[in-house]
Amino acid sequence: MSRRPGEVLLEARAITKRFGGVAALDGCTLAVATGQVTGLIGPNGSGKTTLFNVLTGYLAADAGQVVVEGRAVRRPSPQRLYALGIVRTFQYARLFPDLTPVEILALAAVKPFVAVLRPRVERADRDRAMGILERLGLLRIVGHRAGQLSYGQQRLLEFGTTLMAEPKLVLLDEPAAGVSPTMIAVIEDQIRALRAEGVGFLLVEHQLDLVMRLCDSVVVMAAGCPVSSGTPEEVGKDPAVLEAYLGA
Amino acid sequence: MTRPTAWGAGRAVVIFGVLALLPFAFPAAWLVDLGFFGLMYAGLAVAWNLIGGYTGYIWLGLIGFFGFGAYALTITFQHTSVVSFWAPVGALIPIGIAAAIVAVPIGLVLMRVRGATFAVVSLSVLFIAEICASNWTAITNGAAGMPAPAPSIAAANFNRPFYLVMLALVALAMLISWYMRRSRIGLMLFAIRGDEERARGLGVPTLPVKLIAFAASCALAAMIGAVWAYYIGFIYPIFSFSPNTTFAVVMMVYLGGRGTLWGPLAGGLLVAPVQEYLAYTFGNAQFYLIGYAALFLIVIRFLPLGIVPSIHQAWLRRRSGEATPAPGTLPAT
Repeated sequence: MSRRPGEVLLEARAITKRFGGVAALDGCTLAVATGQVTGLIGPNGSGKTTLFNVLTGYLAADAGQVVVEGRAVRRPSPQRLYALGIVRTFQYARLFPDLTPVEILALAAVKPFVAVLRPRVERADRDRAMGILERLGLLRIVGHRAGQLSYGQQRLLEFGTTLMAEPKLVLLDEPAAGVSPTMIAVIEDQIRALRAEGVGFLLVEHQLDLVMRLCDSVVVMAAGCPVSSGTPEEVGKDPAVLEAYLGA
Repeated sequence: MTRPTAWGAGRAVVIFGVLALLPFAFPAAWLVDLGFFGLMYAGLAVAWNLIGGYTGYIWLGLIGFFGFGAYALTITFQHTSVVSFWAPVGALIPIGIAAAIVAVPIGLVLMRVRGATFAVVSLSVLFIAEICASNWTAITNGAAGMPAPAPSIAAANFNRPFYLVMLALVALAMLISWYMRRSRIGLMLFAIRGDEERARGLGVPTLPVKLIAFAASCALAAMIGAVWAYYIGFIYPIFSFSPNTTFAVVMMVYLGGRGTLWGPLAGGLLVAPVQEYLAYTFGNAQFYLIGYAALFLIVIRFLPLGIVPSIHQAWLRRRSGEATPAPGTLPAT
């Protein structure tokens, strides 16, 4: 589990993605390191979510490469990147309404394909899932189905799936949106704990105070590629950032 | 919830034991005949549920594989007029395997689309199969139909062995259905039903697990179709690949409880004998189709989850006296 912090884990190399005539990503290059939280900010439409989707295999890039630990991923798919330890959350809590929290967490465990014939929830997975629910303060929802949970609980549970996967890198798409301050604090604590274990994070978030508190470095996107990067303080003073947001 | 409990196993033994004893307790040929069709539709409903219930794909091509099995058996034994009863039964497993092999490339094409598109494209499987059977006269004898092998068994209680073979197939279908839902593949199929994109994001190998369920569904339908052909003795393309059968099966699953273990079986066993009885009583006028439409409306209005989940929820309410799963969620009985 322990990796030297600062080692580059995931790279986007010159990625271009067009939707019709619009280039959502335009030669975008970015590197995310282990043991760090990298913030990804930028105005709406600057390509943050598209970059997420390309980096996690949901969208095929028109040009460029997704590189994990120095090796280009051939034909990236969500399953392939998941197996490489790159996991993500979604902008909206979308969980499986018929499944219980323990089942959802068990689903997230990484296993070989033949495991599909093994029991629905194996004992070891159940124990780990219960541990994660306890860490997240979700033990009292164990008997419910995901469809019955509050929005905040669903987001927290979704975050729990990333813990279950033993990831190398977690991509979080607006984890704090629509979540109460107490639950944000829980997520924040977990991110810090995982970072200390060497897990890297790429965080898209509009709540800038959270970004400033949590991130080791920040990348600012505008019009499909990064325009500025550095520590949160440096980025906050960069005139290019103001221009991106305000269109000065 | 899906743990193999003594109670669950006991229930299965009792239900299948009673079904096995029925043709001995009520040996009248017409009753065993009704039972045969009840089991046939129940088996098809269980097979349909593997895709339509567990993954939520509205799979309208199942009867294409039913007809495939019917023709596979008939063509295999076309030069054998009098056979031992068991020879065609022994061909069931190879026919099922052949159907599963044929299903994989078809599934690979179909599974590229979802939702309403999947429903329409999957229905084309049925029509393409019917067109092949009607026009490939060199092999299928076209619209003139083909005689199935005739077994050399006594006329008394002629229906009973067919009933028991069909019952064995239904038991096999239930075993597969039960095994799927209690294993990780069932969890994955349910996740696909809930949100396929999210499932991919959790590393679920969506296409392979869907193909496994699809191949199992098609193999079961083909074996059931083979027994049907053997039983009725003469097959035509229009009856082997009938849209009416397709929609009847789908409706039985919705009535019984889509996505549940016992619902499709209950739906098939309840509706099919009634349908056959009405068809005999009112002749070929197909009035029963109007009854079908009415029944479907009643199910949607009063039992949107189906019979089995509704009973289960009522039982839970009675037992706990507190809130039950929110409307629209499927209990995992």
